[in-house]
Amino acid sequence: MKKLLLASVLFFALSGAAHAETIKATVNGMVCAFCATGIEKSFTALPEVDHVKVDLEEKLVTINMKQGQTLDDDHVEKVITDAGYSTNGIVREKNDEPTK
Amino acid sequence: MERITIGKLAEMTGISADTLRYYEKMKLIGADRTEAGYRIYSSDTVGVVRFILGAKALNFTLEEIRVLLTLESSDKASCAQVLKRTESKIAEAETKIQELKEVKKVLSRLVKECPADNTPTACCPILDHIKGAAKVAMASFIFILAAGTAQAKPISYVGGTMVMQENDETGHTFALDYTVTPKLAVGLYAKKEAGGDDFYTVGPQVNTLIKRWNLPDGQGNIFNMTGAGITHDGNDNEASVWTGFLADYETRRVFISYEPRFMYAGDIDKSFWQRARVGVAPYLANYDDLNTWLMVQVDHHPTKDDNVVVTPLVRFFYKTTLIEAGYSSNDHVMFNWQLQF
Repeated sequence: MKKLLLASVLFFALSGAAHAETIKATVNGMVCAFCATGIEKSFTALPEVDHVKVDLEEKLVTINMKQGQTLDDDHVEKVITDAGYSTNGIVREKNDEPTK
Repeated sequence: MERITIGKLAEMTGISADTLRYYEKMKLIGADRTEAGYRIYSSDTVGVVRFILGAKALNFTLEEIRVLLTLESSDKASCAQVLKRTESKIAEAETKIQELKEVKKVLSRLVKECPADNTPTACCPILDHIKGAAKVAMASFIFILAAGTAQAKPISYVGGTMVMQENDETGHTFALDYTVTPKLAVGLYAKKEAGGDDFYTVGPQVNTLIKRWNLPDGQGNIFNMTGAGITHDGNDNEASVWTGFLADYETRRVFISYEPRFMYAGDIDKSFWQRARVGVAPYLANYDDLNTWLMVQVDHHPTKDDNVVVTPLVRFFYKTTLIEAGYSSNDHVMFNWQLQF
C-alpha cells in the first residue's frame, strides 16, 4: 500500500512539470487602445487562456496559456478577426517551469 | 409677370436682403438669375414673403412654414392637414403660457419677500433665489452629462456590447449596440433633438462594416448605420428612417473621419447633415496608458441658421472607457462618453 501511495505521488509530481505555452501574434490594424480591448476581452474569455498582453508599439498580442493548454493557429486567427483585426504571423514559445 | 430685384423685394416687404437670401437657401422662396448673375424674383414672391411673415408672427418655424407653403400650393392638400399643424402650435403655446404663469408666480412671491428698504443686497431674497436657481441649473446640467454617445466605432468585437451617449449642440443621443459578427452590430438608437422640448426619435439600428483596411500602422473603415422607428414632435408622431455612413482612418498619431447622415420622418423632419473630424495624439500612448487626442469636429447642417459649427474637443480613453469634451463655435458644451463591455 505504501509503494502504491509513493508511486501515485511520483506520478502526479512528474506530470505537474507540464509546459506553459506562450503564443505571440503580430496584428495589423491595431492602433487604437480602446478598440483593441476587444482582443484582450475575447482571449481572456477562453478557458485555456491564463492572461493576455496587448502591445500597440510592437503590434503584438501575447497570449499566456494555462498549463497544458493550447490554441491552434486557426483559433487564434479567428479571435483576432472577430475583434476586427488581421494577423500577420503567429509564433509559439514553451516555458519550461514546472507547475507549482 | 413683373420681375423684381432683391433690393426692390426687400423694400416692398420690409425684410433685409440677407434674410431673403436665407429664405432662398431654406427653399422658402425661389429666385432666378439675370445674365449678370443677380437674383431676380417674380412679383408673386412678395405674397410668399408676406405669408412667411404672417406664419412667423404665429410662431411657426421656417421648417414648418415650408410645409405650410407646400400645403398652400398643393391641389391635394386639405384644411385638415393645416389644422393638424395649427393644433400642435396651440399645444406649444399652452405649454409656454403655463411656464410663464409659473415664472409670474415665483416673481410675485419674491416681490412679497423683498424687504423693500435699505437691507444690503447680501440679504436680498430675490438675488438669493437666483443664486439657488443657478445651482439647480448646474446640478441638472451635470445630471444630463452624467446620464449621458461617443462612437469610436459602431461595431466592436464579436459578443461585445457598447453603450454610448453624445450631448452636443444637436441634442442628446443614446445608443446601445451588440456586435453579432465582425461586420454586423444591432442595437437601439434614441435622440432628443435640441431646440424642441418634445422632439425625439427612437428605434432599432443596424450597423454594418462595408470595408476595412487593416494595415501595419493604421486602420481604415467604412460603416453604414441604418435604423427605423418613431419620430415625435409635439403632438405629431411619424414613422422615421435614417441612414448614415462613417468613413475613418487612424494611426496611433492621427485620426480623420467623415460622416454624412440622412433622416426622413414624414412632415416632421427631412434632413441631411454631415460631420468631419481630424485629430492628433500629442503623445504615443500604449495599450495600458491613458490615451489623449486633440480633435476638431466640423458639423454642417444645411438647413440651420448656424449651418457650420466647429467644435474643438479633447478625447480621453483608458481601457474600455472613452470620454470627449468640447465647446462649439455656437456656444454649446459637448460631452460624450462610451463604455465597452
